[in-house]
Amino acid sequence: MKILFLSLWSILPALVFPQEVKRDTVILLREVEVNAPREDHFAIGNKILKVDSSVIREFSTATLADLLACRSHISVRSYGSGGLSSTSIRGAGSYHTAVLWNGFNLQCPTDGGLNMTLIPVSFIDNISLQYGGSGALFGSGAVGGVIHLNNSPGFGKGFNTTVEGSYGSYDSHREAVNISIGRAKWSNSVKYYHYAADNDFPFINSAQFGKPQDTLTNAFHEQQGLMFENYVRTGTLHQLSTRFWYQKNLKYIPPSMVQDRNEAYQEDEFYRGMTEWNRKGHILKLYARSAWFDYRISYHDPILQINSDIRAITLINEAETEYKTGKTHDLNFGINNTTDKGITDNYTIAQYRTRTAVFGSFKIHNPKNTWNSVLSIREEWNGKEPVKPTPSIGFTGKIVKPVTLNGNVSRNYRVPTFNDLYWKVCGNPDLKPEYGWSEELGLAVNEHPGAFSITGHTTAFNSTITDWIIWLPAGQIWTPQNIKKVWSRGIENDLNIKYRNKSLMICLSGNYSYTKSTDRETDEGADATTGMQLIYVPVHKGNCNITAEYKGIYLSYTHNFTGSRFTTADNTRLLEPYDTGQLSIFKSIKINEISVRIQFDINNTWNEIYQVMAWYAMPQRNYRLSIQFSFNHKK
Amino acid sequence: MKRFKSFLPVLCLSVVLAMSMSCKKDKDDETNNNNNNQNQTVYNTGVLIANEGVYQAGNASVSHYDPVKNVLTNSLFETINSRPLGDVLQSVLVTGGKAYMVLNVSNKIEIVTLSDFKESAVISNLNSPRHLLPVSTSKAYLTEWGDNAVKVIDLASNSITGTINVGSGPEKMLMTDESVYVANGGGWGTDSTVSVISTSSDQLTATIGTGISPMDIVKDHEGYIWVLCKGAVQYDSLWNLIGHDPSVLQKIDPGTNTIISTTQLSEDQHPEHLEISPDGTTLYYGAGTSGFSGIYSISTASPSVSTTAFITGTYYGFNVNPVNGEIYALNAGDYQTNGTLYRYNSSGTVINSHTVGLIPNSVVFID
Repeated sequence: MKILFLSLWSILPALVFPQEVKRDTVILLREVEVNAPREDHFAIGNKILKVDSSVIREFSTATLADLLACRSHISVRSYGSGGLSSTSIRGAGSYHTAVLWNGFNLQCPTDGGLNMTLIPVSFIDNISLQYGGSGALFGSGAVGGVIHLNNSPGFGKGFNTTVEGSYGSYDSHREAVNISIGRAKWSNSVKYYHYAADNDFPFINSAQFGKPQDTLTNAFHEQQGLMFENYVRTGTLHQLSTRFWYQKNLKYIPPSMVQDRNEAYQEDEFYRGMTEWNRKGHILKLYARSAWFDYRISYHDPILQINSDIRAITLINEAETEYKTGKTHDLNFGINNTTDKGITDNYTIAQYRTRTAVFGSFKIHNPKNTWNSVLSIREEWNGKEPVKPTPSIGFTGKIVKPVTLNGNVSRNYRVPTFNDLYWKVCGNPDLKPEYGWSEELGLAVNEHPGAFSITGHTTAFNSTITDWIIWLPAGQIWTPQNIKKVWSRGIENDLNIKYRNKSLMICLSGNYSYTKSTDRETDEGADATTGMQLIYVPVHKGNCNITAEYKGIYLSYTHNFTGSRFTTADNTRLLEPYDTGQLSIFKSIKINEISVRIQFDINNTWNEIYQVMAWYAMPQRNYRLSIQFSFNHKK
Repeated sequence: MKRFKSFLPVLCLSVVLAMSMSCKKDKDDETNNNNNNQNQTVYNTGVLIANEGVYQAGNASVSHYDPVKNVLTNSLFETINSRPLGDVLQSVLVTGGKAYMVLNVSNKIEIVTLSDFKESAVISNLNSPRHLLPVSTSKAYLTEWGDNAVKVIDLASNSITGTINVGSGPEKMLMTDESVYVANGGGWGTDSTVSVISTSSDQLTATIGTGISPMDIVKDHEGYIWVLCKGAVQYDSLWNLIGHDPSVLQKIDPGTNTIISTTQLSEDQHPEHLEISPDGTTLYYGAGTSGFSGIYSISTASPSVSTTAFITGTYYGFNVNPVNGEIYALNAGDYQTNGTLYRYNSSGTVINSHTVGLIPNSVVFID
């Protein structure tokens, strides 16, 4: 039973308006330097939505999980406030979202996941959400979608420093300092933050006799992060970047409403370093980059007497080139080597894995650049075993003036995690990768009549995933097997209307997605789960936002709706739908070179009682007040 | 611009329409849509089935079966009381017109009035509770793995009035005359004792050494006590299998509290459940968490292990009807979707089967 528990626990473990908002206040709007050729030039046909810088600002004291849950199509599965959060894009699994930090996949090799609560929005300059699989360009894990997190240099921005403090409900507080210096040829920055919250919020325990009012216990959460960035222009065409990111996290895990008590806690320490050299000529661009990640995760449960330590080390080396083969065509090709090591008592010995991949893309467009098409392919060797080649083809083109059509077909894959392969007694070293095909066809509208700016998308998608790994009982133990087959399909719509004149800006936006993601008959035949919606994938999900800015006062209200979700694979139990509101107000004042911004957030405005994961209490209406001082000195 | 203007309302409309439609549709089908028979309103006859649910998912449930009408009702507690039962329903006890549901991970006992299954009380602050045994109309004993003890519970006030320390992982209990015999199964580890408690003094009076991990205990027609010891699987420090401790069946004389016979059941298979026929002459063993195949019968007069199973199949638990000898066997399937209840007659022929809840482990015969 202990093995079963251990293995189950380790498995478990779940915006965006593509236009500019110009503002009168001092914002460190970093120049978007093109350092990610595949993301910027070759990811044609998938729907990619860039998170607006105003949204990044609004969420500067929050985590990536909060931003995605509030403002995107992406379904975020969160175990309560500050708890483990994973994402599901287009009905795929939590491990099917690749999260790339400046091109490097942050997913942990031991469990394939990434906790979005441990990514502070303030550490990232640009966030892009790519919907749909992209195995050809971005490798293993890019099955449901890709989240691109990028940092950019601040050449020529001068000296900037920001100090911020915030305090909120349930004894939560956050302190942050950012310092950056940007000269013509070099740019450095340091960012630090510390966050702590007791999270002892009151809730009605509707699962217990008498529905008593309870207070959440064992919910303390603390995070610290430090990031260094260094950029040097070593020549007219050359740039060298070095980045280092340290993250430390302590999370006490509260009991769910059906549990009596919990004393468990988890400590994480992440070290992430990367360096990149690039040469960007007109015809030929070269990139060479390396990254090293060291994840240390320690889980303790004093009641069950469990102490589990896992260390995962990843070393990635990648080189790629972008070559302009002609006026209307470009070529990209590269090679990547990723070596992972997993060290834990949960495996019999430390495990290694090395994967080498070669990838290439060919892009062609018409002379007016109104039509673009890309053909890509990637071949990876997992040790000596080749993974099936993953090609993709995508196109985008203007059909009538404001309307663009885009489409993409791609084959995607995800290699098994170390926990699936090597867990003591139960792991299955013969596991194969998971494979999928995804297709999408969409229309985009982009029109700027007068003082208005209107953008919208409607996209139909379809994807199948086979050989999905699930743990099943086999005799006395549970082992993972490549069994499951899933079929996801649906429609995503979004619309954004903005009006601005000299003194006023109003923006109205909304998005809605319809997702059917169902279990398909496996090789073993149909069973009670065949044709049923996957658990925790809502069929209907949407949000709408109104943002207004007038004389330095900014107001943003978002209303989010999530439809019902099934909590059992045979769809016999479900969680009720819910809708929540979020309000943010802030005011900026500028005095000479110093800018002061005061922001007040009301989360869960209407005091909705709801559950994201079954029987995990969510906080009712709560508040946060933050003050930020910025100093900017340009020579 | 003209073409664009016609496109815009379509987009807006689709967003708004879809959101409002979905809102309505979802709020209508709020409740569980499983095979509930809402016509039945009386639950004080028939059979109750305990479904553990998935560990830490909080989806334990209790089902009711009417063997006369052949009607099964699932998720009974949740449907009637509009809230989940809790996390891991270990056992159910029916006594004094009430049903007591012991939730091992939620650390509580939910109490309902048997006739309408409406919630009436809860006993909280327990420590990995396992099984309840009534020792009088006003008192019951509860085994707990958390503190390796038997708790004394006053059934009138639903409160804990005493603690008796026993061996580790106390599991099933048997009452005979004025003593209760507690099988100490070892919990997460191993133990090999049966503790004897006096019901008049609520004190430990004897400890009997047994085979490895005594799990279940019954009394035969002559008054002798039979204990099933499941044995154990042995692993080395690197989790390689080295061997087994065999499973054994032992006979205890309650007059002297000594073992008078030991029969080895299997060298390497570990059954966990023991039942007896209504006439007290035939024992049945099998089922449990180790994937033991089959239910075997063995005579109390001359206990010798049969090579063929009385009933074939892999079961998580089983119980024998003390009135007519029918055997109800529970199959947990893949442990993620609903299990199955198989009803056999006393000769071992299948009568019918029904889908029950998640991970069914036992049944209780109400009358």
